[in-house]
Amino acid sequence: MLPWLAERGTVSTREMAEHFGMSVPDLISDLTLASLCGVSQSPLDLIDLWVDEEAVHFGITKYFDKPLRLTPPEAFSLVVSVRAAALIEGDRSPLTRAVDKMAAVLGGDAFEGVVVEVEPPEGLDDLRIAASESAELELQYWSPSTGEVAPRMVAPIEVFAEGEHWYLRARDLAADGERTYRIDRIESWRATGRTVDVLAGARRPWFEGSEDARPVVLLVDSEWLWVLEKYPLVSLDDAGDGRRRVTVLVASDRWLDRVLVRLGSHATVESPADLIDRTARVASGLLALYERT
Amino acid sequence: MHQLERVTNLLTLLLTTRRHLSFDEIRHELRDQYPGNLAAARAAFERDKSILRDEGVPIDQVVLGGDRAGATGYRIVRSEYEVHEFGLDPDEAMAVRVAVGAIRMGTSWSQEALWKVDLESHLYDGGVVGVELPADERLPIIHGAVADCRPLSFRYHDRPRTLHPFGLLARQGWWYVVGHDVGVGDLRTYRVDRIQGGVAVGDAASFERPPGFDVRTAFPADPKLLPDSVDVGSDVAEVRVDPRDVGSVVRDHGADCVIRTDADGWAVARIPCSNVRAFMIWLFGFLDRAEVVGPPALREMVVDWLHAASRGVDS
Repeated sequence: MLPWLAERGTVSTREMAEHFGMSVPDLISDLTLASLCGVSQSPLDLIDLWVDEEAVHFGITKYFDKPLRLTPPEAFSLVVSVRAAALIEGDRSPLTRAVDKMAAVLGGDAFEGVVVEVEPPEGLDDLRIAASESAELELQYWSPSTGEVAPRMVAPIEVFAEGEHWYLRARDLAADGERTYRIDRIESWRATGRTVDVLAGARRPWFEGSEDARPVVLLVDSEWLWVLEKYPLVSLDDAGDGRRRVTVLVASDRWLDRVLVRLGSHATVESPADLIDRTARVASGLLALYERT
Repeated sequence: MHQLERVTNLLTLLLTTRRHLSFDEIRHELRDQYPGNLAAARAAFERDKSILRDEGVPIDQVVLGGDRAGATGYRIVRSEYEVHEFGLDPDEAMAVRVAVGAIRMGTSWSQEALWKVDLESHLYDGGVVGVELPADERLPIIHGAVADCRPLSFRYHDRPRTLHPFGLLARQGWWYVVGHDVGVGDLRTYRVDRIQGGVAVGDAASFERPPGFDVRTAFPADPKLLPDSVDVGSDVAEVRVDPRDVGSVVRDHGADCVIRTDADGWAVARIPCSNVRAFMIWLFGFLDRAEVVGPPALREMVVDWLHAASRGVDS
């Protein structure tokens, strides 16, 4: 904090606390402590700063001209950020120059040895513009549960990639709720010409707060847990018999059926009671497909 | 005295000294800040050093000579301590801020890096495009080993491995380290989150990365193409697909994968099945809207799997 403060001289406590992601009382406490530090307790040797009611004032720089060097996690994270962002940002020229300058300092191998595979979906830039302009969109969206394409009116919030897919987070105007759409399932979209202001917070974990999702407890053979590893788990415990007790949130019967048949005989549903024989029912239904041909 | 205050005083002392200081000299300079009891003072000093090193402060340590012969001396070399400036122009710095805002790893690492390298920075949270990547505390260590050509030692599938890491790859939500496995004598790929326990690193410049090595081509992106030990007589399956799902199959495998459309509207597609387990995971994603036609051994495996699942016994 001190080199940042030295660069500015005087800063409001509120601005500084916001910048460093801390509360004003915590900031004042840290800075007060810093003002008591130095090579000796002589006032001439103490870090030259003081805090009044609303601002922090920095005097003469004695010790910390520049920030501490990057730690390995910081260097790694910075490299990953610029490498990945270079694949998705609209105007890539300044970032490319920044990467060249950073590579000259951190070493080219620090950059060349890290690859982030991010394949932007077709039309990402158009969606980015639509989201940043709060444009109302009509999506033609393919639903995996019905296999049908149906229109959805949405107000886009952001576009993001997670795992294997890209998603559009948006407010569904008919349902009046936040929804997440897989971009490869959007058959087409158009801007209606209207704008919709959406007050959106940070993205919540999958299914958090969803009234449509219910918890399902599975007992899974330990060596088959990998089938579930790409899904968010509510809890994971040892069942005591070589199996693991896993709780997943299920918002779609079809999604649960897919998971159960993928696990096959290596998992059973423990609860709720109405789903205990679900795997057998789904598997029998699929067998019918094979027995008729 | 608050420990943080004492640690900060120690930091200022070691940063400003022009020669290495022994523990006795440090204790004298920071008078009354360490306990009077020598053993307690030594323990507190060790804890303070540990705090500084954990924060990334490089404390240089030497065995002293002359009238302090045998004692250990400490100092912080300012050029080693201070961050190297990248010299970013305003538009470049802004691009880095946008990048840090867009790539989300669930840690504060990037933000803390930005505080150090971009003193002009103001918060940037205006981005509408983001990429979520998993974080793992071993990744920075592996990254350092890749950059400095240091061997890595770790356990994987309950076996010790020694790897010359050539690259790190983030693909489909997972991190992989790819390199030459010294024990196997061949190129191997390890998923970082499946590494058991910590990773140990060896000396820098212990190996050379092969010229032109591309971590992206080290293993196929489609897991159905990865070879496994199950032989079903062919590396390509024929799968009947419900018309409602043909679009999705074509998007993933290209229009050429469809070899015919049956009278009932279902399409027959050719899908890689070199890795039978990955193939079945893919197939069961369609439930009753996809059916394996061939090869016969693969169809039989699918039927056996479903029989076992319907009875609740291992196939």
